[in-house]
Amino acid sequence: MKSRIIILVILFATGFGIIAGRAFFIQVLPHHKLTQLRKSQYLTVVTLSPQRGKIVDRAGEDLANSIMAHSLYADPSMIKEPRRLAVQLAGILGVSVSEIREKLLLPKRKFVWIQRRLEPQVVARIQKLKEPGLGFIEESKRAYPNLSLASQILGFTGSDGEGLEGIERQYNAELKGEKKSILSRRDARGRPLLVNGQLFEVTQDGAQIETTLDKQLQYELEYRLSEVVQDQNADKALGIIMSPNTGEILAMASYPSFEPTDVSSTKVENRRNRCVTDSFEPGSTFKLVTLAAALKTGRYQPNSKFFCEMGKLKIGKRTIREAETDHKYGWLTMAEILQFSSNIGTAKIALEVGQEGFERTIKDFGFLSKSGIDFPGEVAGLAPISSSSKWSDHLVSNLSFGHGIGVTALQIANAYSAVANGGALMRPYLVKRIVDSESQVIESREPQVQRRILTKQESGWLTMMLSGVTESGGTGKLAKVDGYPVAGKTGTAQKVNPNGRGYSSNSYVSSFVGFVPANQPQFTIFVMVDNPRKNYYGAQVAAPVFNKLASFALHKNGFMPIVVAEEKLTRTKPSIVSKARNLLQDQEVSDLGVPDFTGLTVREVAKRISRYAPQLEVADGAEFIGSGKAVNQWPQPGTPWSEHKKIRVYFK
Amino acid sequence: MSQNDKIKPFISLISLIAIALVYVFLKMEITRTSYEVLKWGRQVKIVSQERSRLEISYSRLTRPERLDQIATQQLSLVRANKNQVILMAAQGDVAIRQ
Repeated sequence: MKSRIIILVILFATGFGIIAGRAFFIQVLPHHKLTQLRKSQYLTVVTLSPQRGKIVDRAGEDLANSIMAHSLYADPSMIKEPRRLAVQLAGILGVSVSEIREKLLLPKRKFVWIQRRLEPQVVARIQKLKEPGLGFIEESKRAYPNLSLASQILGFTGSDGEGLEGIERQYNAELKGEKKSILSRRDARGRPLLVNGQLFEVTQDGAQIETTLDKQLQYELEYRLSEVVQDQNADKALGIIMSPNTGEILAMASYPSFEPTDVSSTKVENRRNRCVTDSFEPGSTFKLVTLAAALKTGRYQPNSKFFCEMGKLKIGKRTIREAETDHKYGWLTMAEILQFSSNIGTAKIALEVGQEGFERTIKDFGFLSKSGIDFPGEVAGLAPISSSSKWSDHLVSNLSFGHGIGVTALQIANAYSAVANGGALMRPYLVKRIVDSESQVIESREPQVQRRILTKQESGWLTMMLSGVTESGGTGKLAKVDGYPVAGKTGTAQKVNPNGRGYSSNSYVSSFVGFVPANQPQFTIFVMVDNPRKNYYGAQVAAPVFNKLASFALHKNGFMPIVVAEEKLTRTKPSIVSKARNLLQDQEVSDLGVPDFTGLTVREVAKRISRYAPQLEVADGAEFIGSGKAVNQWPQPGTPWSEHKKIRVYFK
Repeated sequence: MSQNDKIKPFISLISLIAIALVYVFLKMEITRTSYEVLKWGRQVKIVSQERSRLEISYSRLTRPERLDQIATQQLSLVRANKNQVILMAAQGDVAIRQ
């Protein structure tokens, strides 16, 4: 009996010992597999997808935005009737049955994308199928509410949400935000539990990019470019509107363009922002650089004269002519050379300046190097020149009027901006602020001067000469905006033959670049039309576009007219009393000659001039500068009316 | 042993039980609050998505190209030519016809 009890005790002790040992093994000793099994029961990975940041214009209006959308995936191993499901999905998604069937029948795959970033109503229809082999993953979906507006600047994103072109690419790191995966405990129903506030750690959404673009100006620019391409039956057109004082790009476009939401069906070349990625021969707009080089020598002034060889200049075996065979100029001042766009005059100026000074000025103005704009794919331009070798006279003369050198639209606009702002070459930029998802400014960009390239006097002289281009007799008359002085230059360049030898006789690049108002520049505007087939002179093709854009920009921003021709004043009908009073004043003033206008308004001065000086030609005879009350005048008070054909009154 | 000394163990035991109950109650409260937070977190996400959607709709509806089309095609408006623009001077003393 006793021995049986002992055996039972031993058996029980052994049994308990085994159980205790096993418990010790499981509970106490570290075991990787068991630990994983335990964790998988109460831990879950919560993936927090960030929302891609917005891109807005300078007024904060959306240019690109994001919403979360559902992407559909399938686990082919769980789908029992793939052929039937493919038919159902094809009907809902609007794609071919075979395409979906192919994905659902993939062997040995547990995950395959069916379609990404679906509309909510499509998601709802698929959810109704209650197919266990289908699932959704939330992803950020890019939206471009303005469709093609500024598309070449904004760029677009790929299917994985990464920026592929434009600002989307340049600022991809800031825009995309930070994707986070958090290991969290879950309850019996699989819901994540808060542990020490862990889930409060929200995702870092992408930063907001605030551009310098003005949506309204951008639209006007794109509209006018498309209009001129259609009117002139041209190949393409491009344009820039920038602030000359800061280097901010207010609008930049080329036509034709594309819609970022439909990238696959557009031509690759239409996606390029040609203003920074393409170079072209600028033609006469480059004459500004030649004249600047001359002024910088200190030997010349705007009234320095050059003989223009009566329309024909022989350099070696080659002959340089004016744009038109009937243009046979003799002695012209530098200002007139620019006003009439004389090729020979410009060539002679460049030859006088010499290679060293000319080359230095070309480089000072930012040509043949990148402007440093915050945009991918910028080119530096090109020219078959080398500092180490001596340039032939023919090359110098060609360069002087913008042939034999490739420049970008942005380089030209920036060079003219430097003249407009008093001589500082600015660094152009497209993004002025980057703000994170909690409205903290990450980066704020201020206008940056690259270098000073002209003195105030030199830029003033150049502005004055450029203003002459849009005056009567100048090549850029059609660019003139009533009420505002315009400084600018036309450009008409023959295109290089497709075979690379010589220039085409019937294919041109027409351009106009200038700034307005010339006395207090607010906008630098560049317009280029490639291969217009109706007209080809920059004066006929691009200058009218400049006029429309400048008018729109000035009126939209509320800049008051500065120069008012008398004919532009609207009049109200004077009462009988005021007529009588005017008659009395008439007598008095008429006897005394030109009255003293000091303290009078524009309207009052205009009335007196039209009444007492009918001999003045209305259009050209009276010139009003500024606004407010008259502060100065020419001729001086008391001078007989008959002695002068013009009168100029300054207001402040 | 005094009467007080006899009660002390019971008081200690009751205090321990009370602390344990309060601890359990607090734990339950945390769990309940965490579910509330999760629920409102989801709600915030939904509302924020809705806001993004509305912002995009607003931008689509007010895009310059659309407004231009409505003005010219539905309302028969035309772009002003340069002779139709009248600027009023800042001081109201003259109107200028462009």
